[in-house]
Amino acid sequence: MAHKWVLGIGAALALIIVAGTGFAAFTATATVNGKASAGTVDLAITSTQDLGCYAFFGAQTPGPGNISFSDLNEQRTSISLSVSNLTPSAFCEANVTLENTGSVPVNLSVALSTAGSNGVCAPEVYNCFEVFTLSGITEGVIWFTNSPIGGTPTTSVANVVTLLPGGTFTDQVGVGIPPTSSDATPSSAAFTLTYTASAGF
Amino acid sequence: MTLRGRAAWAVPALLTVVLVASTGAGFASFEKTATVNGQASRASFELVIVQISILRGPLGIILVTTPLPSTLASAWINNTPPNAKVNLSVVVENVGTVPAQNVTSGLTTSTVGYNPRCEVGTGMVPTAPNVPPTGVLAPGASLTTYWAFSSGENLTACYGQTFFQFTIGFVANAGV
Repeated sequence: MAHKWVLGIGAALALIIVAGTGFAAFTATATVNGKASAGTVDLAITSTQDLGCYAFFGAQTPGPGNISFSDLNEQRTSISLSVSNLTPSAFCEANVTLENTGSVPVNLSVALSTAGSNGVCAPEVYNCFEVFTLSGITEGVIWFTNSPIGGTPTTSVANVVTLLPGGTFTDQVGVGIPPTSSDATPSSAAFTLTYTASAGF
Repeated sequence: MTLRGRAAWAVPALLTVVLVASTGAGFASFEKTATVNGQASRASFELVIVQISILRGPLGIILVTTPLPSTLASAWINNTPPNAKVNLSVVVENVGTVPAQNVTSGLTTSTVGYNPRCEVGTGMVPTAPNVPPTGVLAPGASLTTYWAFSSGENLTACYGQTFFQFTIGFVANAGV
């Protein structure tokens, strides 16, 4: 008797399982086809402006010296700046405008570095070329010293500015030699301004 | 069997935590740079003497011993008789790339014009330049300066030394 009762329960469970399996055949689905792409970070030099050369810093009267830009590459990421014919106290200025050509906001910063000088500067720090930016993101000055590689920045306070996509930023660059320069001042020197746009954490 | 089953679940759970932690640290920021390659050079600034010539002088012979143009030139006046005057011109040129300002000239030593063996007043006496060269000299421009030297009456007191040496210097500056 008990055996039959167990068989009866087993048969009932089997029916339920079969029925359950049959219900699983009715299904409905909804899908989300996702596609993810990263934002682009791009920076371009969009324009330059020659602001002229002056007899000394802060002067309004033109002075000796020549300044010019050349060799902007196709990607607009590199350009050459030439400043020549500088006399003691004279300096030249120019604007460099950069644009965020990417798709996301970027943090923009600038670094000044020297790339050597043609000659050895006198032991006095203020006897050689100086390069400075007045943009506000970097109040930096390079004084070429008598180090073997032509000098290191004595001041480089890097701040960062946020640049939205399509936004532009103009940096003002000055190049000159101080009044205390002399015949011992090297004939030429090279420097690099590196603008970096970054996004992410 | 129960214990084994729980252990089998516990291991993947731990692995999941590890994967999440490593994924988060793997992301880095995007970065692009633009560079301005600068080159700065100072002006060329140099005055050179391009010509030394005698304008007037009895029997005086000028001998330039330094190839010109040069920043340092030497000249000799030979065979000058007593009580004579020799006028010279010295031409300097700005071969630099910027204007030369405050151009001045002068005798560089107080003994110029005297032979060391001559007594004062017996040798060749330099006089003041006829045209003091002052002012601005543009690049490529030249400036002619005039000089005069007189020989003493008692020139023979120089013990036969009949040559006289002089040195003229030019000074200019550029910049503020």
